[in-house]
Amino acid sequence: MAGRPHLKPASGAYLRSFQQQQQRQQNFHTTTPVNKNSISIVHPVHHRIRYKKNQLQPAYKDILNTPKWDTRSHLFRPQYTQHSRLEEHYNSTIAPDLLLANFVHDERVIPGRKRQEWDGSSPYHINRQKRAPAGSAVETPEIKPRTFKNIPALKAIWVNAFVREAVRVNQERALPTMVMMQQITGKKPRPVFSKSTIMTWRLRKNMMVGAKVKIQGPDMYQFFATLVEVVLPRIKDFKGVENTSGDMFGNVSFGLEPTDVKWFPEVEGNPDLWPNLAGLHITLVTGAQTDPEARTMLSALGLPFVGKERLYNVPSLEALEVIDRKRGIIYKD
Amino acid sequence: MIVAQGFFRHILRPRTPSIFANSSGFGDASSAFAPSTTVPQTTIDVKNCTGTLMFTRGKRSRGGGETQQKQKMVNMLSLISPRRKQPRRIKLSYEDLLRHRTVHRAWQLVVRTKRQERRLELQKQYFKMKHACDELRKTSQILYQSAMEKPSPIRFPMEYRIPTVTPPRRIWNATWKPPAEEKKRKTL
Repeated sequence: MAGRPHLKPASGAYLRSFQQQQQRQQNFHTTTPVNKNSISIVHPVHHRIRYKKNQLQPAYKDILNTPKWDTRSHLFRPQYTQHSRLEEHYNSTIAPDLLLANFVHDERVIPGRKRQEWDGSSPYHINRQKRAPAGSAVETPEIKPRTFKNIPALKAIWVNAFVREAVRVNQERALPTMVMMQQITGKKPRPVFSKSTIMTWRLRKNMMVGAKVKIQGPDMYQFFATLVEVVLPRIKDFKGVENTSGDMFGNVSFGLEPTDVKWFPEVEGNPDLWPNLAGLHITLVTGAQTDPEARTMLSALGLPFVGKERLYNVPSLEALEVIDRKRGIIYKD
Repeated sequence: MIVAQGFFRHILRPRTPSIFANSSGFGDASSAFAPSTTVPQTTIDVKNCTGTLMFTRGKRSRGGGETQQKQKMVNMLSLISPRRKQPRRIKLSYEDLLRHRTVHRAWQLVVRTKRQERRLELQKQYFKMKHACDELRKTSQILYQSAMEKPSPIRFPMEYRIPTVTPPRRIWNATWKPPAEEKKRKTL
């Protein structure tokens, strides 16, 4: 069969010309000529999935069938075992204040940069991929009006560590930092493996060089509260996170030095257990649409900011007027 | 006998419940019970302090800071791995199951009611603000424009801290002034 020499159909279902069929019957010792007048029927390819039959035994039936959220499941992990201070503070006090602070009367959707259509001046424009957005390599999201439904909140925190000693000395050097991250956040981190080989830095591909973990929910609020109340005030000469920190869409990052990491209570309690620790990168993923909004929200949660603010992705009054003029709304002075 | 090269990946790869041949079977409770450091039950002695970690039972090795370091690494690995840290599965009788379900559903109802109340409060607040601004615009253009001015950047003060269960040592400071004013006063 064309393209599938490993599959042999049970019955010859090929349409052959009468002459060729005759030839076949007559000449047993000659090879069949190339069939140009035949149709090939594609037989189904059965993908075989390897599974462990042992795991389907009747004794394991209830284990496999209990869902993850059920208390009887072996994967169940209780979530709200304690009252979350920060969450309650946010819900009761900060959310209404943020709603007021971010309120803009008669706000319109501010369009982001989207891919553009070709104008059709050339016949080659038909079926061509859309053009890159104007003034940006990638599409940016539109800024929606701020209502009670989209108040900025802390969504997740990513904690990430790169351990230089793991590259230079030994891969095992990444382990203490990984365990420390587990103790601090309450969640098991994933190891980070290198993706390329660079001889000048003695880096090989698929070496364990660090760890990362994402925390959400009560764990996240606990970690943030510890950061803001215990760790950051202890850091020498710490005035605040830079006002320029932000990824344009409301996510703020900052880092902790190895000397700062030891102020976490889990590390401070047993300093002998943690001989070689690396620093951490902390990324706060917020539901804010722009960086200034994210900073306002984080300042309400207790994170200080310092320095001159950088306003990317925040449209100026002139830009807003242009948008309104397009929709037919003109401002009279 | 375990060798370190494959050891990391084996211990550190993510586990999900699956019946597929390439996996380790049932998902281990990998998301942390983050315990305090525990010394492993059996003493695992290390010999051959070369690049690989080889574990042999029953043979003792003498001395050396290097073995201590290796032992520390073994302890670290045991902290990360879910081995022997998974709690016993809960078995509920029918009556216990009914009790659990009742309590769980009651609690979920309480949580849901609170969430809906909060949302309703915010919704009311938003629409009141909106209507107030509409009315102001009809009343006076000058007042409306000055009301629409917003400070940039908007920051909440540090004194707006997360409240604690117990009050602070100094409950009320009658002579408190905002930090900017305090600075001015000091320079003058």
